[in-house]
Amino acid sequence: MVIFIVLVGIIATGLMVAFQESLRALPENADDVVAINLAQARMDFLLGQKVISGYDAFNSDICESASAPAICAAPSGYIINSTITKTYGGNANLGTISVSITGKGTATLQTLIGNAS
Amino acid sequence: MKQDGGLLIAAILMIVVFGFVAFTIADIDVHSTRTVANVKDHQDSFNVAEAGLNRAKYALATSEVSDQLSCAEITGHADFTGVAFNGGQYTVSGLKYEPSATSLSQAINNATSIIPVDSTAGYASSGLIQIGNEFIHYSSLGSSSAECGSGHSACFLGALRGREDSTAASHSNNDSVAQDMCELTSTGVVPNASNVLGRTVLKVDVTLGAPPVRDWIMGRNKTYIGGDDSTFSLYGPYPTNLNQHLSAVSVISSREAWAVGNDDGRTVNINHWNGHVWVLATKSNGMIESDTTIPRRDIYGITCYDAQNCWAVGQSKTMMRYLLKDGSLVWENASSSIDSSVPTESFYGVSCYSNGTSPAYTETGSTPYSCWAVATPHNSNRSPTFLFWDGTASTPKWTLSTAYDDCVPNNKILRSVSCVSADDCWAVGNRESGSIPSGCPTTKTNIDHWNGTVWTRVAPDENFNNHLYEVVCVSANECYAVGNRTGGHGLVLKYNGTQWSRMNTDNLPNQNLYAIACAGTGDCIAVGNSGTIGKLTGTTWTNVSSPSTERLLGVGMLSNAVSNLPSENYVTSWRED
Repeated sequence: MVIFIVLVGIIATGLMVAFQESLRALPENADDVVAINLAQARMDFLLGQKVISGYDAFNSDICESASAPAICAAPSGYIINSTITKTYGGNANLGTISVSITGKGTATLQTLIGNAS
Repeated sequence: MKQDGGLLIAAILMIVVFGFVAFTIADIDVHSTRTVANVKDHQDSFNVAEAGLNRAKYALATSEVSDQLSCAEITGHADFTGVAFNGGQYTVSGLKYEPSATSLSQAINNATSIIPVDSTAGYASSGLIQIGNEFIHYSSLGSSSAECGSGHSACFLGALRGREDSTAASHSNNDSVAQDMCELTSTGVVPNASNVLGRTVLKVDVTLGAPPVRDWIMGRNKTYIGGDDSTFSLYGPYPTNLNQHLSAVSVISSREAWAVGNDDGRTVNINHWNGHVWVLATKSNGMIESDTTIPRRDIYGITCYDAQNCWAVGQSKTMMRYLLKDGSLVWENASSSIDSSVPTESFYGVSCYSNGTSPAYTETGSTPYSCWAVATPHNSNRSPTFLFWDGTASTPKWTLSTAYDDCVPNNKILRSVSCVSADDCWAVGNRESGSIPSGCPTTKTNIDHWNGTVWTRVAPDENFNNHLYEVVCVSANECYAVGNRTGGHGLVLKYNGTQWSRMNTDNLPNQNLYAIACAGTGDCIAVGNSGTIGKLTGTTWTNVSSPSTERLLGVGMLSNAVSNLPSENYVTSWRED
């Protein structure tokens, strides 16, 4: 019986260690949620830039310029990258915006834009 | 035995407790991971749906004919049905709302937010309506007197007035209310329709723009007339624009034009047609450069070489220029572009042509054009005032040309100029009475030609004694000029490459003609007194039904070589289901 109890204790301890590791994973999920929201925020900002600039003049992300507004700053531990491509499916009047987040959390979003209002 | 049994129970309890704790933690972990995955899937499906919407909006608005689709064509189209995009799929459908126009069942002022109408049958549950030139966004439909007010059983609720650059205005009972809208619905799924881990439905109401306008006619008392070669209708009123006369217009596209006119002592009268409404150019709306000094003078003439280069000229040496400046298109006071030797006369006409040479100056990029302007006579000799702006110069200035071959004094008031090329321009006007030397013409009619070297007076084949007000050239062998009535009809002269001759205008009324414009060979409009509108088809002038009895002073036509722009669309509302 004593042996049994000792074995159960060892198994329980092992399980607790394993659960602890799992719990440690929970904050990483939260970081991914932050990353997704960051990506969407930048995506919305880029779509706004496109509306203001017009499709033809929309070639770069103002957040990646030297005069980036404060809103572009990423939270500590996150890195935001954006890519604007002015062709899609061989059509220069269609393009894509891609936003990727790396660092503490990761996320990648992409949408399509057209040369129209 | 009792002790052993107790230990066993304790051990089992421990196992159960540990097991429960382990299961709970594992479940939390799995759910947390799944939740993050769900968030990602949803966000991906959102962007996939948005991608579909953006592509559909492009298809509705693009000028690329091969990419254009109507609202109804989007539904079921291969480009919008189950299209793979970034790990997901989007499907877009279009639902067109174009119900029969209804009418206001009560007059409304410019702030009314509940708009009572005879019926809302066929109208979208929310969206945009148009009354006159005003666009109004509404949030829902009302169907009872409790919602719409006593005596009204249909209405638009939550009205936001003066949308899409229009101006909120009062409207009369029975005024027409229209809707032309496409509701786009885009469904984005991740990863695909048969295995949906994320799904978003987005809807936008896209309102199609006002119909294109190829011809504009301007007149006294704020008269704006738009047309399509054969039918013309009044536009406006535009309460915020100056209540003054409009004297000239330049059409850039089926959705853009500039018109100029008299001032009212407050600001220069330059108006912009944005495809929906005429808007007075001001500093506050960014159409006039913020640090420019606005000349409070009448503007008589305007020409646009292209959408980014216009000149407007007027009273007392007024010169306004529209150009791309610091990244923005603005009107500036261009008085500094006039050479100091130019006298203070009234500038009536201006015309530009391609000089084929990229300019040395940089403010307008590489636009290769030069211009002529004409004005009232100057100096004690009453010499003709021809002004040249050499777009090939490093610092172009409007300078006075002395290269003319005519009697001096001649008292020429030059009203209009039209250039075909650097060595082919025509100017028309009239000669005022005065001390004209013996042997020189004393008739009022005046026509001059620029051959690249000198302005030379040219006589028409009849000796008219009339004022000429405007000249326009379609080509080197086809120009027209209009003027005061003669022989019971409006006067139109035509140049055929050899001679100016009077055209048969028997179908036109006995009214002075003040302006003419052409869209192509044998396709012109002349306008004049008492709302007169004449249309040239080939060589035949016909009188066109006019919506106005005002004196019409300016006309502009879009070249037949330029197609209508597609329907401009506005996203009036956006929602996620």
